Amino acid sequence: MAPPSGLHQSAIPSDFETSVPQPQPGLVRSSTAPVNGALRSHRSDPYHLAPEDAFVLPYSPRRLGGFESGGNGSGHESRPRRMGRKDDTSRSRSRRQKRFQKLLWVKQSYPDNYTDQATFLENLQRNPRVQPYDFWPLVADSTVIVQHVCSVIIFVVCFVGIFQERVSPVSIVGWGSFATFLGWLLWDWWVTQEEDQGDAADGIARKGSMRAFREFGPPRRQSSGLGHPTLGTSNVSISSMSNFPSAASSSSNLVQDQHLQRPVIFGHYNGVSSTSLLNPDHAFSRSASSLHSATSQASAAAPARSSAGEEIPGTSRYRTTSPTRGGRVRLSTIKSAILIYSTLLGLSPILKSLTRSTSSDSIWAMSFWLLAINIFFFDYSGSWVGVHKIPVASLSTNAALMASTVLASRLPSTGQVFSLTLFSIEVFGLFPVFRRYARHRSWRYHVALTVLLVLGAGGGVGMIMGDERSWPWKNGLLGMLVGCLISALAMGGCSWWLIGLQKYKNEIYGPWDPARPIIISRRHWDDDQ
Amino acid sequence: MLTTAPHLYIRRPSPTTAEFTVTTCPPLTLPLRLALACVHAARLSLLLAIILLLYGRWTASPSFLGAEHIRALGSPVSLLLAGDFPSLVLSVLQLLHASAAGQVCARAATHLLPSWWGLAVLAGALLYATRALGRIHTTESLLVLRGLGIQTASSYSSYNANATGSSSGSSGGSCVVGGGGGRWWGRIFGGGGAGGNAKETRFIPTEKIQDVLINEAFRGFEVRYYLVVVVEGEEELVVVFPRLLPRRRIVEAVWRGVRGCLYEPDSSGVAAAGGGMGIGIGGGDVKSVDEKR
Amino acid sequence: MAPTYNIAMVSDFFFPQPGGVESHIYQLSTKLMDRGHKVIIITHAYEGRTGVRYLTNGLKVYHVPFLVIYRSASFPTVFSFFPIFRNIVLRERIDIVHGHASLSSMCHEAILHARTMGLRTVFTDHSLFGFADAASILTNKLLKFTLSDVDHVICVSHTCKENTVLRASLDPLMVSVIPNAVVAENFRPLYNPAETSSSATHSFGQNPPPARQLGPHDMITIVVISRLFYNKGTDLLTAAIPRILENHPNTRFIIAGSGPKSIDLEQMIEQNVLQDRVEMLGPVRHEEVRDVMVRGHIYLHPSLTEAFGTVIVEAASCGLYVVCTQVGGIPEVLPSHMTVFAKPEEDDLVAATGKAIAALRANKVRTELFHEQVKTMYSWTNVAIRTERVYNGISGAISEGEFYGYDAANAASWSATRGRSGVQSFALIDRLKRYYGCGIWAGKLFCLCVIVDYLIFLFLELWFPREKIDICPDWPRKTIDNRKEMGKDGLR
Repeated sequence: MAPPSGLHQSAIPSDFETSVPQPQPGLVRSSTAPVNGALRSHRSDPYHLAPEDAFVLPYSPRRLGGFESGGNGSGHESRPRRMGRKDDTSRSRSRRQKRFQKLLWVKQSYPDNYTDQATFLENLQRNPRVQPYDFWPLVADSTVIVQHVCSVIIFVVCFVGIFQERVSPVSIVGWGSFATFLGWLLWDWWVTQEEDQGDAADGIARKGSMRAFREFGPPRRQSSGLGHPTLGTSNVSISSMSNFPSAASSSSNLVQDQHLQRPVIFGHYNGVSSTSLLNPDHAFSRSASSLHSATSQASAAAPARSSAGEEIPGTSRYRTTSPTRGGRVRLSTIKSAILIYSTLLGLSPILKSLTRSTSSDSIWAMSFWLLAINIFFFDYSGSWVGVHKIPVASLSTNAALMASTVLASRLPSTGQVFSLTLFSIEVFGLFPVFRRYARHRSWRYHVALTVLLVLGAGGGVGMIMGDERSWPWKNGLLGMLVGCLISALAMGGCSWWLIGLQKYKNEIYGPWDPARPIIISRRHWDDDQ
Repeated sequence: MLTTAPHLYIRRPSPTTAEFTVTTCPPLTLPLRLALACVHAARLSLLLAIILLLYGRWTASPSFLGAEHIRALGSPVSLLLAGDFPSLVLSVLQLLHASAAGQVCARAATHLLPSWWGLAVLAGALLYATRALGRIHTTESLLVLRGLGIQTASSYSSYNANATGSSSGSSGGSCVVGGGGGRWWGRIFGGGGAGGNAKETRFIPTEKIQDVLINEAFRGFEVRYYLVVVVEGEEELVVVFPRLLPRRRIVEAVWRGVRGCLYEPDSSGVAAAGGGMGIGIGGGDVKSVDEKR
Repeated sequence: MAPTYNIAMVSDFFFPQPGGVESHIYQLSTKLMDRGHKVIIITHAYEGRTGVRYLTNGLKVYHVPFLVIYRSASFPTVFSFFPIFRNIVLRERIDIVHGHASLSSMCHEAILHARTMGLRTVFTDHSLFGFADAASILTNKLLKFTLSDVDHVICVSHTCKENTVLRASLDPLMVSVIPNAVVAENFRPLYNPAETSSSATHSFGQNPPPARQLGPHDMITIVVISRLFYNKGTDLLTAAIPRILENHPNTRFIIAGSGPKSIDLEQMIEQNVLQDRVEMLGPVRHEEVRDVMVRGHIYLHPSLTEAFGTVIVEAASCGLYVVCTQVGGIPEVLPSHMTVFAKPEEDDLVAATGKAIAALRANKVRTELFHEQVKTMYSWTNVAIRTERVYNGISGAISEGEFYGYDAANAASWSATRGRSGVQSFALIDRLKRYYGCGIWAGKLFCLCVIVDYLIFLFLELWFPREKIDICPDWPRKTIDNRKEMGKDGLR
């Protein structure tokens, strides 16, 4: 399967060209012309439903129709008659010399409720930023959710295993830590590789990417061919993710616009925030909007880093990293890992007796809700904002860690508590970062990881559900099969459903919307500070 | 049936004096008198029944002094002459208790009311009901004396006399007729008399009156007109007819009358209405009050 | 003799609170009273202002005691306002209920109740709303609810009309555009002080006032008066001021107003050391606005959204050359010789201001004529006349055909399908049909609300019968010769 970014990549240059005069909605007549043509040209697949199918209707391309179709139900029936009537009135008024002007200071020779056919709602834009979905990219994007859900399931399975004393806690934490260590090594290797490539970039590109790096993160591997690495390809992976339907899929339709190839950093949150962040301009003016998102992410990341304890190699100054510096970073990472390890060891007895006075039922319910919060508020956006900015949704992570804490407090022995807590940190704190980076690196790793997780989760659930005495591997295999089936069905079905929902998309823009100010000099200030 | 909507009577004993009375009491015809008498009799017997119930319950209780002890107090007449009122009450109650009705009540009390607690609740409820029946009509009046001032008076259901007394009686000149110790009895038993219960009056001398005017205000779910007197040196306005808040045409008629009587020599309208007899203001045509402000 | 109406203006926003809607209601009411109508205003109680009040010209204001939740908008309790509203309407014998401002829940409730009671309703929209964010979606749904059964809607600009038509799914023909106005006498330019005296007026009537000459090195003052909020474009202003001052040596700024963004401005001033060239006045009262304006030559209005923009009309009336962003209804407000439009971009704003400064220095702009021109463009009397026409149209005093502008021949078929404009039926079933179209769930919910409202109405008719409600005496009405007034204003 090709990376999902292929389609978007091809659309970028033309979009970029056309979107430059965009920022003042409704001022330029040409920019407000019906958007059908522009969108049509980008459609690659004529067989799938696309948003514009919903509003390309038989009647004239003038915008008038449809805006009151939801009104009293009589809108569509009365439409032709109304048009005819207005023609009549305009004919009867044709002897008037003065044309109707959309001005307030002129004394018009028309009544106040006169509605001019030519100018009324001329600046209305409908679905100006719609981006049609395609099926396979959508399915590909949904793997992120599948990954996360699967890792949560694996965590729960491990807890159940420990709780029922089927699995030794030491083996779980041992394998978990071993996997974490492997992941870290891999990460380290990747980062070193990327540095080498980054050093190879020429001076101008580097200067540009330095700024971009301050704003968005490190330059991308693919960026070597372009003068402004942040503009085009660097955001490919972002765009492929940001139009992904999060839990609020129907409301996220606002996100889809042709400028999505610019980074919609918070695209997953909801449509509102992302559209407000959209600034269809070149990278620098975009800094105003993207900056605060970047900083907020950084602030969100800070506690997570400290709690995770594993310093990510190549922090903010990794560009200047020398080999010794890299070694120092690695040393500090190991140091903080040991610190976390011993802290957990010391806290485990306290954790064990934390909820002794609470009944198990409330603990199950509470952890269920906390894990649900974790799943729903997880940061699924694929934006890779940089190695030094661990993109973590703090609410989600905190909920998961709290869930693991309360679950761990049900366990009878200190060793079990310690194992589960450590494992939860690995699963909820570090693993998402690794997953994200793996996806950023290579689509193939991502798919492999997904398959692995689905199989693991399915197998684990199968073994847990199965009879204890019977051969566990049979149940495990069955579980894997069922897990694969369910995830395939869910991914395909949800994607198909979302595409089906696109025809209800009706987004309206016009001169009444608050203008988005374009402020340039703020960049200078930020540079100064 | 027993009350009507507030209506106005004007008495003009002299050209410089006028009394405006707003009352819910309809003209006292014979059927009305009979009906009122019936109501009062019913209330009296209800009260008596409550007292006998309580007394009957008391006689059945161990804390009772004993009938002999009470009989030993002497006859009611001698106690009355001696001025020993508690003993008098006791002996009268014993006499009533000994009667047929008293026996019925006592039996009812012992059978129906096994505990003191239930008895107390019932008695309290009945007492409250009796008091709620208290006074049927509300009458409020405004007396205007040119050169002296105006006096507002308001007599109303006595059971909430305390509340209004404390709210509107806070200003100096008000007093409650029939106050003191007699007031308590007046409140309980005084429902029978036509005029013998709580009545609040206030006199405002002419030199303290700044203005008399009609105002509008929100009251509950409606906007009401009301007549106010602006008194010098007081934050609060004095509302005339505060309980009844009669409708606009009455308020307007009173306002005209007050202004005419208080400030100006007799106008033609006042002269025509004079003669010391009460006239009820009917549905006559009332002119606009535009000039009032 | 033209028909006169008893009109109730309902809005959460009224004096003593300052603001645009408030003064609109007051000015419109005053002028309508001058035209012989009876106008009362129903608003909620403000601190120290509860009950019934008369303003000096006989305008009666009901300050209904209600709970205020946010920025003097009252708490939306759909039905609790009904008893007292009915009482007021009956005692004042109201024919037309005119609600103002779409954020005022009181106005929406009043329109709903008025329709239940069988009164004509008009709604005036003063603001623009988007369609994207959650708050707007909710507000728009509520607006749709109210306006499903309103007789006519008035908007302050054409952009506002488009917006309202879309938001509430209205027939465009039942939406009139009637702009705000300014009291031009309150916004006289500085060099025309003696206009009050009749002789001066006379002489100025013959000769235009002398042109104000600006030398190439004279100081040009740029005035900004706005609340310093994001929506008012304070960010743009903050970014543009240093560049404008850098490009044009003999210029200075006067900024009046307060708000959360004022700290940014102050920071900018300190960072660029502009204390002697930017003067921050803080909040000014509406009466003082003119005195601030006449200190300047250019009025800069960087707003990001604006339904009408009364303040730029005021500035032009004071003889200031206006530089404004081209957003919302602003492009409709002033003729091009009084304004320089800019896109809501920092660069363009700087360029536009530069253009304005250059034009002033070249003495190309006859700012001294602005006052008289604005005076002929906008007057509250004109607004009142146009509003009166709306009243006539909805109450049937002028024929439907004339009001809505279509041929009488197909009127019957047309109004049958239209159902939404024109003289609307008060029958409950017709009203329910209109509300039902509001949405799958919302339509049913709205219908339920309307039915409950109707039941409350029946209950109130029983419990507080109409005969028990005192009728208010009217303030003496003014009479006016309509034809003369119409001719003078040159309106249809």
